Amino acid sequence: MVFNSDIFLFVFFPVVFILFWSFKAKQARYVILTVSSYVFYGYWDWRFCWLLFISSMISFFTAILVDGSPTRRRRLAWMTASIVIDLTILGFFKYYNFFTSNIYSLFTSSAPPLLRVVLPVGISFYTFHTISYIVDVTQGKVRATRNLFEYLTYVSLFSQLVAGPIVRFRQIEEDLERIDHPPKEEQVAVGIGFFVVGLIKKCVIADSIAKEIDPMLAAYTSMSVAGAWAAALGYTFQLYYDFSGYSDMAIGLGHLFGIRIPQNFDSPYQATGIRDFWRRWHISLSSWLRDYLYIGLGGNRRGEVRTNLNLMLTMLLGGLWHGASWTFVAWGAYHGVLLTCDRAYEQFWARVPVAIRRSVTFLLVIFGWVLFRSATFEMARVWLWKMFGSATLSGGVTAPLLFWVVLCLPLVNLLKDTWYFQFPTTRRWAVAYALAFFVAYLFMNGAKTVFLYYQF
Amino acid sequence: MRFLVLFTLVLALSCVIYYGFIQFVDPYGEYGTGTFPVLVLDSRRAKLQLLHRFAEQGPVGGLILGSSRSLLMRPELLSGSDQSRVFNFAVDNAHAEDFLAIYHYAIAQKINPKFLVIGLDVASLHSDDAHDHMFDRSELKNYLENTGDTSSWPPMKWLSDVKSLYTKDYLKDAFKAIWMKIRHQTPKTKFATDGYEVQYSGAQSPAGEIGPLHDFSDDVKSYMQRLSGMRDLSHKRLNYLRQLFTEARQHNATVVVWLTPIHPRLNELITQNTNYADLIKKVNVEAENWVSAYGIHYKDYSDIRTFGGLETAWSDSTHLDWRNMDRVAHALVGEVPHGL
Repeated sequence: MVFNSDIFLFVFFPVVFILFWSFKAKQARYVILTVSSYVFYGYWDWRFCWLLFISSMISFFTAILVDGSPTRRRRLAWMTASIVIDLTILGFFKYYNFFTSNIYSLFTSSAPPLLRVVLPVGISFYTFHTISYIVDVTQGKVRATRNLFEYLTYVSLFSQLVAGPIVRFRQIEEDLERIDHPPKEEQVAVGIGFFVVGLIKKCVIADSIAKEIDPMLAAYTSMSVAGAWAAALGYTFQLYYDFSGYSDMAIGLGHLFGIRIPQNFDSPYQATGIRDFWRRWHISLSSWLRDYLYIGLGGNRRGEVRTNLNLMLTMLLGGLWHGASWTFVAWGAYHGVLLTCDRAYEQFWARVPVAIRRSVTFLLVIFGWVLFRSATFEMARVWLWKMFGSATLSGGVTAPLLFWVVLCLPLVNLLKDTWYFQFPTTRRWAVAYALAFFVAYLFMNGAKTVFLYYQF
Repeated sequence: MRFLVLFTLVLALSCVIYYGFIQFVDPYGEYGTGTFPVLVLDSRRAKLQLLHRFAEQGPVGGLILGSSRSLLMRPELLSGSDQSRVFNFAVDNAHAEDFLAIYHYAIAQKINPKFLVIGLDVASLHSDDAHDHMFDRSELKNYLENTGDTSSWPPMKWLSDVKSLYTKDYLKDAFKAIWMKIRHQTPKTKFATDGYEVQYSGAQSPAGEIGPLHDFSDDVKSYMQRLSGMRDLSHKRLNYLRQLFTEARQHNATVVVWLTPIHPRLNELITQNTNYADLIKKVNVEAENWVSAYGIHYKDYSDIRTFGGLETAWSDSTHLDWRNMDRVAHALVGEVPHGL
């Protein structure tokens, strides 16, 4: 099920919302959210609900064992066991065929067979939820909950189950504990505001851009220089509005159930450096990678060389997390190199005027997105080559694409992120939100699209 | 929760006002309001009515099926020696489900055509299996699975029909219809009593002229969009065609399928960038089976030289104009054993 579907908007959400607020007991609300989240997930393919359930149960019980372990060594052993199981499940479903086909291309005779493995939606996200929980319990940053349904609510909460944000248990623990509180008018208004803005970002902006650039990229060999730039810019904006739109909707839904989901975007295209970009883009993932991988590897405590190596490794794995493809790995490596350079030339970079820093960062990010969007290295090579003049200069840029690019360029550069909007909560604003929702629905209806980050 | 109640009420009110507005403007001529010009004639809806009337006036000998590429096929050219009455039931953006549903409708109306001439586009077998939204809105949808007029549960059908009004395209067309009224413009599409298109929309100008300097870049993009995501032929749609051939055979109807072309230069560009040539091959492989298993007649006219087509006689890069269309009709009559 996706947020921008009739079944979600007019059946699933109203039913869950009414049921949730009809019951007042904490446990009843946990159960309602858990069951509804499994329905939400199972609507796509109910068989994978078992996988979600097993993964959740393993981390739930391991955390209790960690909590009760008398020695640090035993705590670490339980944590390692749980993470290995989680990563094995993720590795099998997401990367088995990728690695097998690569082994096959190197050692034809000794490669294991390819399997018909379906990638379960959201597996990368909920695996990171469970890993962060078990690590935090081991490190004593959070207590292991004994309430199974509280934990199942945390892992499977439908608003952030399939495409994030990657929420840590400690970030929403307080709200989960106070879930039996009565609804607040203000919280509902803010939730609706976030959701409507997200729906507009996704259905009006991102999908309209996708409609223009997808056919262009399907015929990337015939793009002109202007077309290649327009497609690169278009995808840059599409990806941002698609994913940040999804995140806004997730945050809005969280508010509607009294759970404050953390910020995931902070005007990333206003970044003045690559490190700054990663502090603003997909914050929940970049901070997860920083806290659980980069710091785990030693962070910047073991000298310059090791720090850069850790950065590269973190970004390579971050790239691979996005999908089983070498282009994602290369995209991660590209950002790893940029981050290393950013660190090395930090003092020089600080003296460069802000406008230039922002422009250069934006350009570097665009080149990265070309790699990210390309299905093959050949596509990335041709696309980048055309951007640098290896094609006819103009042609093939449609008026709607030009319109969106010209509109989005100032929008992403001047506007603050949705997170900082002071959503008006007075009742007359309900009229404005309803009309905005209605317009977004006109764009959404009949257009069968999914969120770009669902595939990860 | 008053905020939420107000939000819901305003949303509901917006829906009601919008519904009234669309009914009043009626850009597709569905409600017969008649206050504003019909902007986009729903070819399925219009031709269902026309066929009904056409059949009342005498027996129908043949049906022309196909997409907008067949709209300009003149029925009288396929009348044959016995001067059968032929009806052109080509509709915009037709897929295999259209052909089967139209045939079911004809049989339900006691029209037993002696022959069917089907203009098949590669995209008519698109693997996305997504119906054209006008197909979903038309009565034809009820005839896809059944040969009788059994509708889905009425409230659900009503809901589905109403829901399909709430799109940005519908709203845009409503405003265009208002604009046409202000500018005193007339509707652009009209069909003759035998379904032939006699008044043309921009894309369907009767005599086009594509010269050597024609820029195909927009055409490439638009056709790429049409073929977007089409990696293979749809199994579901192939089954619709097989079902159609089986039923036509049971009713002793001759079936002639011709594969429609696109302009040779567009073909060249598309072939460089997509698997279009591969898809054509796949259709031809399927067609061999159709010929042997169902006894249909098949002509691959994807190359215009096969029917003596002209490079300049095109309404646009994917639509033959009437001159090329007449050549197709003559070629089909000549190719099919015993005529039509």
